[in-house]
Amino acid sequence: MSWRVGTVIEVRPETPNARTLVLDVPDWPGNAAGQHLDLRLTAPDGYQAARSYSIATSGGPGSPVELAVDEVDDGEVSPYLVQDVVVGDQLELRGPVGRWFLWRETQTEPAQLIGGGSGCVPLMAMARAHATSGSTAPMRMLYSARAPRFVFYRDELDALARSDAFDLTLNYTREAPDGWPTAPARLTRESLERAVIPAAEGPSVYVCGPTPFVESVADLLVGLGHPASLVKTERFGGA
Amino acid sequence: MAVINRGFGARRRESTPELPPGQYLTQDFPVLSAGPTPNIHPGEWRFTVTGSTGERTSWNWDEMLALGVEEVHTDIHCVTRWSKLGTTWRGVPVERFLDGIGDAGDHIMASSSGGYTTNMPLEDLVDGRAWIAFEFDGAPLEAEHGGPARLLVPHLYFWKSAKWVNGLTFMDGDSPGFWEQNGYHLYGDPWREQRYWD
Amino acid sequence: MRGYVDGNALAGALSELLTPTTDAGTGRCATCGADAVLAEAHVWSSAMGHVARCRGCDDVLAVIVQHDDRVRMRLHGLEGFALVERDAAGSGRDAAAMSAAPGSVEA
Repeated sequence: MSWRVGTVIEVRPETPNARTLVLDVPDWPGNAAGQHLDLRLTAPDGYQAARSYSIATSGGPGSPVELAVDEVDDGEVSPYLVQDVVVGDQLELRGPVGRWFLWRETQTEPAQLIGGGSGCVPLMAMARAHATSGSTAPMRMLYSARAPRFVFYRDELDALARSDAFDLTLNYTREAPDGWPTAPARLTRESLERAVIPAAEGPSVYVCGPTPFVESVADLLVGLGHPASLVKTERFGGA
Repeated sequence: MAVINRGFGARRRESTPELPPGQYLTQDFPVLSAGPTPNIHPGEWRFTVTGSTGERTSWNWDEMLALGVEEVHTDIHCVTRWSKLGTTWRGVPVERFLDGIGDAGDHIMASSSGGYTTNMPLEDLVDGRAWIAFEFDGAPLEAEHGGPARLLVPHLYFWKSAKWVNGLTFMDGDSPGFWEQNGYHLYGDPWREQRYWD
Repeated sequence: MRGYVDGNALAGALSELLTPTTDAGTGRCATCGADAVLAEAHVWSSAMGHVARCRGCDDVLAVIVQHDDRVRMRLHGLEGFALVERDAAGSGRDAAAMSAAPGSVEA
């Protein structure tokens, strides 16, 4: 798999620190929901840095390639992608990559998506694929974010949640909106149990976000009876 | 030919002539780790020099300090291209641990808690070129930077300055340590840009 | 970057060497014998390279170093490394099996 060149055709803000980049990639072979790509940046003096980003979309050859980048404090690459990149810029990328953390529309079992912060991006690809395919497999998303302004794709998620086959639960860890029924908190065994598809229904579970979030949620899920073989995880680093 | 991303890297300082080739200046102190950070208390710390026939000599923390501590002002250069100028350390010169160990071999393998290893010629560890360092910038060396004590060999690329160092073993002839087994240069001179051996 | 991520991060680098993509690579840790799906390994990534460690005993399973156009991988900590081709239902069949001989694969 070699490096291709994509052109940024659209940028739009998602949160105060994050933005969506839409790329046009000639001869893009298409990708499954949950896959990622590697981006490589080269400075004028030849210095290079590469990072992996989940793809928020999926589809066949020529389908759009959409990324969402969260700016990390002291990051080397994310501030460039969030603040400096403009429409027309070219970015080197390699992909799609990933054969493990995927949801396909042929899956008929229930699917539970659990995301922390920017971990929602590959899960969004799954939610979008689920809607586009008209799948009737029950899908729920539990999305944990610091505060309402840090939620990605809010309007689109609310629209998806109007369908019978898709359910959204938001969890806030630092600030909640006025009138929110619970105080802001990290996910606990109790809040997880209330929100997720019960283990007895045999859901495939997808957990994505920062490493401590994923480890803690995965442990809680196993404690709730979800077999480890049905819990797929993708842990993000930073920068 | 790579696409050039104009404006990328602008948050770095420009390279200066005092730097080895291919390096750029940083004010940060990046943490690059190959595994979890060990948790070692100075009270449990041991440093062991092993001669080429297996004879061992060990020091605990107080015995190390008793060998005599120096202040070191130096520049450090990472193979990943960042350089940090004018760093300040305190440590014990490595040659003080080697007194009395006779003709024991011409190369050394440094080893660390957690299993990391790195190799270098004996002559690069003596004559004021290397220390066991336990203070950085006036404060005890933080665990993520190799504390309580790390090897400091600033004239070579910084992966040779083994974090969490716990011993030196003499070897007859050179043998690759952890990163060297994975393509990094056996010697690692930043001024000759000896990054990789392949 | 602090801490570790998981083996999904290796997939891009490994794709240069082996197909199908090897984040579904399986094997056993040569130190403790635990099953070691690479996607679930603890991967310590830095600009030096990627170090995949066993979830059970933390010993090194594999190291991948990239520079210029080269990717160098050592699987010295894995026994019985196999690449598993997964279909949509998640069941696997061996696409390729590699012997346990330690060594490096270079591209």
